[in-house]
Amino acid sequence: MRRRKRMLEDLDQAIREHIDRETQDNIARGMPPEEARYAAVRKFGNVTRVREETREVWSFPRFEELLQDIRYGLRLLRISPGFTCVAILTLALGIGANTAIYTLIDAVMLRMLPVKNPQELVSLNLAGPLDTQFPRDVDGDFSTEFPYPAFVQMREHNQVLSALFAFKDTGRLSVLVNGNAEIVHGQLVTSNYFSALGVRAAQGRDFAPDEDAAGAESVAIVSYGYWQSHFGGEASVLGRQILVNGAPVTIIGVAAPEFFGLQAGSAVDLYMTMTMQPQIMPHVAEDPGTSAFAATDVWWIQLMGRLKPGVTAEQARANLDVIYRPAVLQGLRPEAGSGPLIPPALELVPAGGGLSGLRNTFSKPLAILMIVVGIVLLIACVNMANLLLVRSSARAKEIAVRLSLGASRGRLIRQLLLESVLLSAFGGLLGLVFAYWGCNALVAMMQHANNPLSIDVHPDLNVLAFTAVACIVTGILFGLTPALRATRVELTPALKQTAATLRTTRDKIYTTKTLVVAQVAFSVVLLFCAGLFVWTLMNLETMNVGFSRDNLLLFGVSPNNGGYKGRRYADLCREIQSRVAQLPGVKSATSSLILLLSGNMWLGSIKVPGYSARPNENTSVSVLPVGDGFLSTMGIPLLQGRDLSPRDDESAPKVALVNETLARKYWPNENPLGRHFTLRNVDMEVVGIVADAKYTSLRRDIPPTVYYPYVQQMDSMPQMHFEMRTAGDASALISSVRQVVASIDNRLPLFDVRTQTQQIDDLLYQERLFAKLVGFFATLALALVCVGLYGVMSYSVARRTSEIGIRMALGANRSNVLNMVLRGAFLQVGIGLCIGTPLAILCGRYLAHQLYGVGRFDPLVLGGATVVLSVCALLAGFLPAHRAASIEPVEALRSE
Amino acid sequence: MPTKEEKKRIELLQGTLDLLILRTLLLGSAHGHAIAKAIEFRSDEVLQVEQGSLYPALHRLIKRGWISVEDGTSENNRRAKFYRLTRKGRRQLAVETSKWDKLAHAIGRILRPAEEEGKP
Repeated sequence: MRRRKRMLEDLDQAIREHIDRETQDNIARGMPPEEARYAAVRKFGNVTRVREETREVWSFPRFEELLQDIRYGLRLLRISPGFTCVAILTLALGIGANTAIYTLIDAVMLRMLPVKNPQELVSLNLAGPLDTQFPRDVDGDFSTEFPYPAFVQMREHNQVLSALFAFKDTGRLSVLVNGNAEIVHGQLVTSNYFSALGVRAAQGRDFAPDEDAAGAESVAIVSYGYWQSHFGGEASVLGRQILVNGAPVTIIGVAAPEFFGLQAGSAVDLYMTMTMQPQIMPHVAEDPGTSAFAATDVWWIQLMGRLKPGVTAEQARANLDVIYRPAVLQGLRPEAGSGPLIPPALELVPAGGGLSGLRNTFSKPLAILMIVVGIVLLIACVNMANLLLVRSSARAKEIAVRLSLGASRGRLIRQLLLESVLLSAFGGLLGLVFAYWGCNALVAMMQHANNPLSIDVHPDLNVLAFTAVACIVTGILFGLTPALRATRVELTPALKQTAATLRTTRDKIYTTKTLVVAQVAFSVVLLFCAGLFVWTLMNLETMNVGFSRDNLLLFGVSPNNGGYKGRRYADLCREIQSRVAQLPGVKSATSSLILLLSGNMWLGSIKVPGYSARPNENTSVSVLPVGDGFLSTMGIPLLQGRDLSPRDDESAPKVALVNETLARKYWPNENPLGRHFTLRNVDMEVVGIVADAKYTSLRRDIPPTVYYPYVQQMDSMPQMHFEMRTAGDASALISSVRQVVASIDNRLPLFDVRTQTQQIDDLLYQERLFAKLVGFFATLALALVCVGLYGVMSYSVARRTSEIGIRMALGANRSNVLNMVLRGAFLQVGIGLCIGTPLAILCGRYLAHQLYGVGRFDPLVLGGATVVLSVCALLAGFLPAHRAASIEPVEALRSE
Repeated sequence: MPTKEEKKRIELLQGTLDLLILRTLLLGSAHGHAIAKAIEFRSDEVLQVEQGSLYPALHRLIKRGWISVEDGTSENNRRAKFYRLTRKGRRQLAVETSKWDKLAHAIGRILRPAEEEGKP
């Protein structure tokens, strides 16, 4: 730029010198001086044109024009601050909502793990065919876990992976640091975990290769976040010994700050070597004498590998499969009568983005939310287009003048589009701020006690690029129609008239009306979806769960982690139960392995003499080991037989209660009382039948359920939960409960301390999230539609002032005028509803999985949405209509 | 009214001015007026350069890096801008010259095929 300026300054001097020289030459040839100069100038040609042409050589004309347009656009925005504020705010809401949801999608689903070459990572999964000898999870799908010996075989003998490592989430661990008992989330890993991932240590060192061998010292690496929050980021953490579930572990390193584990959203605090399994996860291999490391039928570790360069996932799968099959079949014999054992097939899944847990949970909800905010942005766009259309009639004269002075239509359209993109750019900037707040609020809403989320919502380049594209597309989307319309002006009439009396062409009002119709259609879709979600939430919140959910305080402890086993375990639980039951304000207390409606469940396969299961029939039932007084405290009615009693202890015959569903299924025509069945190879007698109650989740049908006294089968009890029925507010008792448990054993941390109502709320967090968010966005959309309708109606009334004046002068009364104007509004709303309703029904089908107790095209909800929209539209249309009806005919006619 | 002398002169083809400037500067650096004079003189006054159009062309060549400009003193001790061929410009001149030769040859063959053949 500076060079350009200098060159142009020099040019003037060069031109002067040139003409001087030519003059001198001419004089030398004998011309008189005056004529000589004249001839020289003539020979040189047009000086101004030479200057212009030279200037052009050095300029970037498009860029300069652009700067000029931007300056002009900014000036226009400053002139009408009201319009500008409304526009920017509208767009900021629309773009901000989109950015917020996109940030979450980016963080949860798109971002790669912060490790070396994440695209090379694959996780090893299992897929059908189903065979009962192999493990499945709750939904009957295969778990993604493998036996340890199979892992060793695959690690030693494969030719396709540069590294294969194993890990196992430990869930909650009790850690004693500085005398405080705390809950952390841990992972057992093989010693090559960090080196295979390419994650460096921020402090200290990585695991040594032999540190996961049997007999090695127990060592751990802590996450950066845990180091910062619990050790103040001090280097002295290295070499510190902490107690994990009572076992001493030495901290040898701190992981890199950006590494959060293998699953976005659920952070791991503590990484320990596999050798800790017997202390930390003894329930993995329950039977005495088995080792989780030697047993080929204990499926418990997850595997991830790094492909060698040039090896495809399919080649790797084929190579690993050959090693995997014999390794898992080793030592297994098919049950008599059935065919050969077929182990689940091995699958390799790209794992560069981390494990898919959170992605599976949130992909559908996030996709739905993205569509919802997309619709909101569309409605905002339509509103903006309407605003601009109305405004462009005020600018028609300016545009006509520019066109008649020779500006090309393309140039004007470009300038108008630039103005709208400028608006959306400002909207986008403000939107980024909104999005940042929104995201944090969203993550807070998505939190629930069972699954603390740690999602990094800092906008990265990806998100900024998304917002930039959204701004430009939005600006062009809402600016194009008005720009095309505005520049199609008939010059002569436009120039003759003043802005105040300017009549726009008939089709401009048609355009705005069409846009209102589109808005109504979009908005009815959103209202309908919001209605479905709110209805779903209400259904779930008010449903009968089979037990009394009010005034119930819950908490859990892990006696195992405190070193309690067998009899001591049972004694501890009895003592805690009886001590909390004596607290003032507590009516009764009980205990159970798992809390009802906590999202967790325990399954067992049942065998009932005389009942022959169909092949492949699901014979698994829900199992709940409970303490004394479970039925009475929870409020589950006993239908037949007797309740469990303290006399059903360790030495008494094994007894159980079954629910109605189970009784109906296995003893359809008989009295189940006194009958026996086998659950996990233990024979039990049915002593009572209880009413059905929800177990795991609100949505799932009530499963066949067995309740038995936990004291009769004390193996595999990782934790114990307690339920207390209180007289008044349950949460007021929390601190006294903590004191009671601490007075019994202060190394036992409490977890899941909350009321049953809170726990159900946590279970419904996704439904609540949807109801809140979709409801919020639908309201926002409704407000935008009303503003849009109001604007268009006002504009059309103003345009028709004289017409209405004439009508009234000819005898129309106020209600005639009111009717006429409102009829126009309702026509638009009506057409919008006609288009929107089928769209809404289509969306309802897409949402079917998220709904409960409400049809996909529930007429009540659809009717409700229509009524709400119509009433709001009526209100928005009434003001302009009222104004039209109040027109004084004389005034109106005179204004022409 | 064009005079008889002016009729003899030929307007420059579009784009050929750049080539002529480069060729002129091959002999050594020169100021703008001298370049114009040299083109007219060396074409036996057949080629008519509108002197002003020289300057946009010079600036275009500077921008492309084919010539450079420096301050100097002219033969009669006056300050002037001197334009000089750069190494890049020298290469470009070779390219442009050969292109021109091809073009002239081709056009020549189309315009006078018979004469071409008739020559021994």
